[in-house]
Amino acid sequence: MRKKKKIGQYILMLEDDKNYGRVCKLKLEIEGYSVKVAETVADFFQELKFGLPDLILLDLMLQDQTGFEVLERIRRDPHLKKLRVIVYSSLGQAEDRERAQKLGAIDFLNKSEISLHQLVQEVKRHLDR
Amino acid sequence: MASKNNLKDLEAIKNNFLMVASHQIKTPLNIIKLNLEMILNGDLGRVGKAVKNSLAEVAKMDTKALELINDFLNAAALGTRGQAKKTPAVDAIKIIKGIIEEMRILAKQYGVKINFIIEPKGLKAMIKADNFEEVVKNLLSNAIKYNRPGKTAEIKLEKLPGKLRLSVRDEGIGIAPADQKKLFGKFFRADNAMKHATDGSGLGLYIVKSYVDGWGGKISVASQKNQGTVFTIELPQKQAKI
Repeated sequence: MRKKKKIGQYILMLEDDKNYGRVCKLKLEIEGYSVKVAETVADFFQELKFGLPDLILLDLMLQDQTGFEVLERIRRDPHLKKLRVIVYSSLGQAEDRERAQKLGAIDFLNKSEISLHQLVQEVKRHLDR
Repeated sequence: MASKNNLKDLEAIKNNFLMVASHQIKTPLNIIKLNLEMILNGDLGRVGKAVKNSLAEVAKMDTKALELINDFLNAAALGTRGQAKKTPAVDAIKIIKGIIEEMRILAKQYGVKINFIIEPKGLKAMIKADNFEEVVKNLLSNAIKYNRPGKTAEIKLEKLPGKLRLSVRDEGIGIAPADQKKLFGKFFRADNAMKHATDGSGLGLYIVKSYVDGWGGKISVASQKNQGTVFTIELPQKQAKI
């Protein structure tokens, strides 16, 4: 049954796969979060001008840039650098995980292995801290 | 005849193709999985029992297809691998810790605790072992999936005279002696493993052994039914700076 939506913490997601973004947004909204999905890097930084999210979900494999470049740009910007970012990728390589950690990502999720339930658990775990 | 450089280029093209193909095939299957998860969870409204049962089957098959693609791509990559590839040294401890972090969710799902032991303490292990991460992931996920709730999956890295030993132990269903001999073959799955977890491809340990052989290492298994299993890999000194 669809739960009643409440105004919750704001999550901004950068995901260029429409279908993946849509299903994650739907699930997170059912759980009470307010979610926006940007499909391009330009839209993502535009959204950040309108308001800072409580959490960013960032895909590493994007069409126009890599998620690492986006993360580096976030960390270079004095207004954005403290934002909490969870990165995810369908390639869970150790070197990617290490690089993301060095750039201050608070978690690294494997896109092809994680369920929506697990995604919600991870988001909750970080936002409830 | 193809030159060394041409072969190298072909290897790079093949690897890139496998990576892109894997990503492209997995993406729609993954989205199917997530949408089914929402429907089955009742997130989108009530679902009748018959529809639910049928969709649960679809979800199971979708997960199986995803796992099979992973294993087939790994096995295909094995069959065409070039010889004498220069492998950079990697920090084994760092890689294992990363994998444990990644497997935290799976372990929680199965009610299994993961324990990592390093002997001696402070050991540094730089190893030249291509696909080391894949090997550890495979063994550790088995140690979680074929374990029992409340039990431990233990991963241990030890320095021994002239070699490095990695062992992965579970306290699970175990493997019958007759099955232990066939375990590293292609498409083999033990009867009790199929009953316990129906979705495996029977390629995981074949892939693991092929990688370990490629390192010049050795892999062995010791197991007692319903007591647990330990897989042990020994890596010669020349492949490891310890």
